[in-house]
Amino acid sequence: MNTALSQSSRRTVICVIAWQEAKTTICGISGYAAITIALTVATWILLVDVRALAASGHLVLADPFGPSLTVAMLVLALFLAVSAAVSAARDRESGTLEVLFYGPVDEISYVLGKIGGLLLAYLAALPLLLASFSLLALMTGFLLTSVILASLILSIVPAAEIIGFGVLLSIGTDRVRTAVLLLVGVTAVLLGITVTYSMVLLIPIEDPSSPVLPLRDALATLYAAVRWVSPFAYLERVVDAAVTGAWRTAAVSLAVAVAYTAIIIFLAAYWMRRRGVHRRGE
Amino acid sequence: MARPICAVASMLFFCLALPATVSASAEDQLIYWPLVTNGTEYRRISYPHQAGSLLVLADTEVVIEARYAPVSYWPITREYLADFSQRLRLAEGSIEIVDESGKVIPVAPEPFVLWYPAGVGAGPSMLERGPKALALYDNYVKDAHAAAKAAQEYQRIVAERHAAASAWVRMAAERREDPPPPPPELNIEEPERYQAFATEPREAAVISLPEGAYTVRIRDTSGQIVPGSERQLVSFGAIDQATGYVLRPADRWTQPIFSFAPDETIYTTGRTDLFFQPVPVVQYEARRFTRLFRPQSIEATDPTLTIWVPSEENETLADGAALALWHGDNMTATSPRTPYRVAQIAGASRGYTIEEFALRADSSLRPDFYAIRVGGDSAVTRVSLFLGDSGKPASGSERQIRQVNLPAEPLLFLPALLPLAVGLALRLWARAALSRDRRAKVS
Repeated sequence: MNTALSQSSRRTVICVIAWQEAKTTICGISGYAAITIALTVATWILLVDVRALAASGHLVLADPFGPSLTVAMLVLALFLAVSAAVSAARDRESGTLEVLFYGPVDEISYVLGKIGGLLLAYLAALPLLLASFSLLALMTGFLLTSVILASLILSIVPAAEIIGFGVLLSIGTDRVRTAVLLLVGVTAVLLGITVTYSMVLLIPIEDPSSPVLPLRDALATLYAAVRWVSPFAYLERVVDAAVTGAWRTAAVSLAVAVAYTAIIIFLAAYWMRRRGVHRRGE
Repeated sequence: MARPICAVASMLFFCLALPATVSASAEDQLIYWPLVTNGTEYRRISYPHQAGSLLVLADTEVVIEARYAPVSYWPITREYLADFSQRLRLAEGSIEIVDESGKVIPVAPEPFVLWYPAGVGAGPSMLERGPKALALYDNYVKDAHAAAKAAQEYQRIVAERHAAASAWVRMAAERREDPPPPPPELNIEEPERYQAFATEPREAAVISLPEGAYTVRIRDTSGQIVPGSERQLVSFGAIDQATGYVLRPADRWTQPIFSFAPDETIYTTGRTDLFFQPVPVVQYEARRFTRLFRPQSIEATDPTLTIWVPSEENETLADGAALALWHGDNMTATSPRTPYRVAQIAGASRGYTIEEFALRADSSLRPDFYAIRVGGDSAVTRVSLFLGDSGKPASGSERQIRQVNLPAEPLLFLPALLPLAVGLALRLWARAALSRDRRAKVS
């Protein structure tokens, strides 16, 4: 089953798996629904500036679509992570994984194929995102800068990282439901720490003996760790750096994201090899 | 399952316990306490050892002083704070600055004064040193006394007139046959309130350093370096300069909005006129500028981020300034900088109007602000500032203006449906192709 593959046959296998994965995602309606949800959230974020302009009559902005774009890409990336987890878990649950590994498929080519396929679907979604933002720009009169295009392109690597994260988490599960719950749970913890820390910072502390103080310090430590561990934080960092013109930071964050993606791919393949491709109980 | 829970609980306990182990006991340290400026105001900033390198703006006057004080950790702001409320021991000795090449620059103490020409908290502050500081303080004292005397004299005249008027009213109430004429109206103007302020002259080491990294230290009277007095000092300068604007909407002139960064766009609904007040702005590295007044700030600002801030208002920038109004590539008009005064509308309707103000030498009235008016209904798409007769716009003064007609909020959600529409269209097309194939096979 795990015979060594030549480079060319591995490439062919990766392309086949990726194409199949991309076709399934692009032809299904759930991807488009996810983009619509992402754009709905982005529009809701944009409404903050729209309302401010309507109320005051004047507004000064450098890049009105920056925050909306970041949120839209985060929502879309989350959907792709769930898709990756579901796809990998479904393959194991249905026995497809076992059948595949009787063929010229090994762990690395499977993981790369899954990530590559969903990344292709992400790339296909970007023009739709851009078209919708262009329409919003026409309707609101807000300027859509070239930085937005750069941010979309730079987001590809962190998106691959998030998709790989979804595949990694699904390796240890047998069932689709477990994979989804695990991914949603981990994402909730990662995002929850960030949100909770932001909220705790808003609580006024008047006394060193306040119980909020150790909670704040504990959350600060966790938040610092989450910023390195959470793939969503990398996406946010890269996009925010591009939007604010901090290109050096964007480049450094991209380089770290590439390394992180490589680590995720390696870990996923290694774990799959250790665990095997059979369903538990067989 | 129990093992991961124990691991997480231990980690949380460690995280919670760690801050509590940081002792709150005070530690005596040699604290540098420089008087630094951010370009508009001066502040004393405390630098315990934990605060890291001293930060100053390049080519600005900075007062360097040091004293011994107890330092404690303040967990609420996560800073090490020096307690200056007690009688403190000054660090005795002379200040030395060592530059990157190793050259030692001794700094002798000289008198300095902080000067607030518009009053404390009402405008920029400046630092004067040497004989100029002493002369400035002497003039300040003379002017302040003269203004106080003039105010006192005016109050005396007003009080006398008021007393005379009261006496006349009492006499008029007696209904005499030949009442005296009423006291004449007061025709003198109230003297302008003197608002400037200067601190008393003190002696300290005053330096002005070009950009670079330095070491500051104290040499005592025996010629030895005071232990713990060597600290790194970073003098950083502006990355770029430009022209920013303070924008005052005609319907909310007391709530201006700001455009300092040259890449910003001004969005307007065209509801009211906009008054442009040009100000010179400079660009700094955001992390260093933030730490200038808060050296122990825990905010991890991106080192590549920059910030645009107004530099001290320079009147020579404003004189002769005119705003060029563009529609596309065509310059449609230029508007000069004009004084304006806000006039309250009399009566119950309240409100105000903003009118051009005619300056008169014999009047103590002053305009409320100087600005350039751009009509709300004008078809201006771009503005830029011209200074004097240079014929070229001032650096970084161009701003795009976009007049927008905002649609109803629900309509803004329509573009979000585009991907769903595309997906449904693709599915319908795929189904149609499939059924065509099936029919072709059957036939």
